[in-house]
Amino acid sequence: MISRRELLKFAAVGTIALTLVPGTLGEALAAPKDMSLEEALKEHLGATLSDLKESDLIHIKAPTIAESGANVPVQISANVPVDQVEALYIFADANFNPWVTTVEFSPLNGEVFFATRIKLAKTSKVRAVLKMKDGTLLAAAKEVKVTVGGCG
Amino acid sequence: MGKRKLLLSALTGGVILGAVATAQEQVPSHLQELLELGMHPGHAYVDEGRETFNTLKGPNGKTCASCHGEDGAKLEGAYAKMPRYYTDIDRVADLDLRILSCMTKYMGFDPKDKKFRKEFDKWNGRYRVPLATFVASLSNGMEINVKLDDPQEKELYKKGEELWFMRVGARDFSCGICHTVLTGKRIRLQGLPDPVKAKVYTHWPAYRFGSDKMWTMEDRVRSCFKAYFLYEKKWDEKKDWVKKPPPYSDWVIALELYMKYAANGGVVEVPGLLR
Amino acid sequence: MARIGRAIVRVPKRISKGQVFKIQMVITHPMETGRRKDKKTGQPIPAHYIDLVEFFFNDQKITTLRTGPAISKNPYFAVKMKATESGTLIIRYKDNKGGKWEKSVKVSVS
Repeated sequence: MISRRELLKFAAVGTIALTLVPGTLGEALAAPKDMSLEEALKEHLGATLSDLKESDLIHIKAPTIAESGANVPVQISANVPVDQVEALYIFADANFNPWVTTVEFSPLNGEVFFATRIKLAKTSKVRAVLKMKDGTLLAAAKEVKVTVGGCG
Repeated sequence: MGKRKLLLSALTGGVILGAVATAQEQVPSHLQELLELGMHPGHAYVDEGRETFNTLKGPNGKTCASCHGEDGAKLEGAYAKMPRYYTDIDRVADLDLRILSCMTKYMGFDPKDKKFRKEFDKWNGRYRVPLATFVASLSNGMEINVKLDDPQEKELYKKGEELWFMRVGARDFSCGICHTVLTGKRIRLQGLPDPVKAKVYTHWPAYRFGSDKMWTMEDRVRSCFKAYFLYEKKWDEKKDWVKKPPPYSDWVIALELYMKYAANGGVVEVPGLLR
Repeated sequence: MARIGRAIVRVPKRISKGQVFKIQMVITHPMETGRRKDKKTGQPIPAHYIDLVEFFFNDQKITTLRTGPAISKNPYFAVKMKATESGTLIIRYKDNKGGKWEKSVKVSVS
């Protein structure tokens, strides 16, 4: 049975130890986590792949073949009223962590539209998921092949 | 250069570049889609360059704007005429060298200060790259008009043309093998451009998305030298790699002059976006 | 590039009331994933990326972007907005290491 004195001693040493090495500990805690698409969908949407409803109302514009995985342009637009949308989620299946970004719209956006450049670790499906206010998950996907271009 | 030599070059080039394929397949639209976004990090360099131009004070208290006007008003169209001979340094200068000479002669920066030079000369160089991007953008919409009036310009141009086709280095390469003889073919997924015929210089300085950095033509030429063993001086024993030719050297400016002169008539569109 | 967190924002110069227009921006930022290793030391380069971008128009929040290291270096973002009135668009963005910035731009609607 640990005495209260010993417990307090351990706690004190522990706290001092943590303050002495904040950097390493902080970075260790922040170390990126690998996860599968299923895990990423669960974390961000609380859903499984089968919960996603394929919808042709969502349009993904991305190159079919990318010369560099570091800068893949992605433009998402959808033919649904923006005030019915809670958020847009973008996933890249083959990335170490498939979640890329989440966009929360408001009626003032006027349209469901978002564009950015993303990193793809390798050839992968890029998925756009619209979480509607009524709970439905509309989704579309486009495969982007990642290759290497040129030399130097 | 004789037809026979050209043929020999083509055959040797074809053998060396085993991965080359014909460009019959559709050229990928990755770059096109990136351009369609409308804005890219190169534009952020123009913005940074403008701010540096207007606010960076040299040791003698002057900014670039002190002489050249706020937002570079007096430098509009200057880039379209470069490289050219400058009497105050008695050399044909490209944009990078001109910025260095201006900063050292008129703003008081010390050209021998190793720390300053290391930061300035390096890849994605401090001051140099944003300023070059900004100053080049001041010629946007204008036609490139490089003249060869001065005898030094004429001589350097001839040297540039000669260097373009000169087979050198461990791989016996020349610029011309890839960029004149084998133009139109691919290396992996990259189409080989002909900077001379296609007036490629209109899009330089360019943001290269493959490395996520802004490059000036000087950076591009020097790195080509390094990658293809075109410059044999100073082999680095430790790194087992040949060093790049020194920045602002005649080798580099001669080739830039050759390519820029060929782009005469092309309209400047900077910052470019390339792989 | 010298300054991390610099942003340039583009909106159309002439916007008519009711029009849906594009807001584009580029931020200078390394967007380090935390997975790259320093070539010289072999140590992983710590993750350093923009994780939140918020758009406000006339003090009303219109869009929130939750971003991560999978966004490319020197990120580009574009959203759309319906023009109702003239005003000020303020974009506030931060990264995971405490960097916090804001950029404002005038929107004129006729």
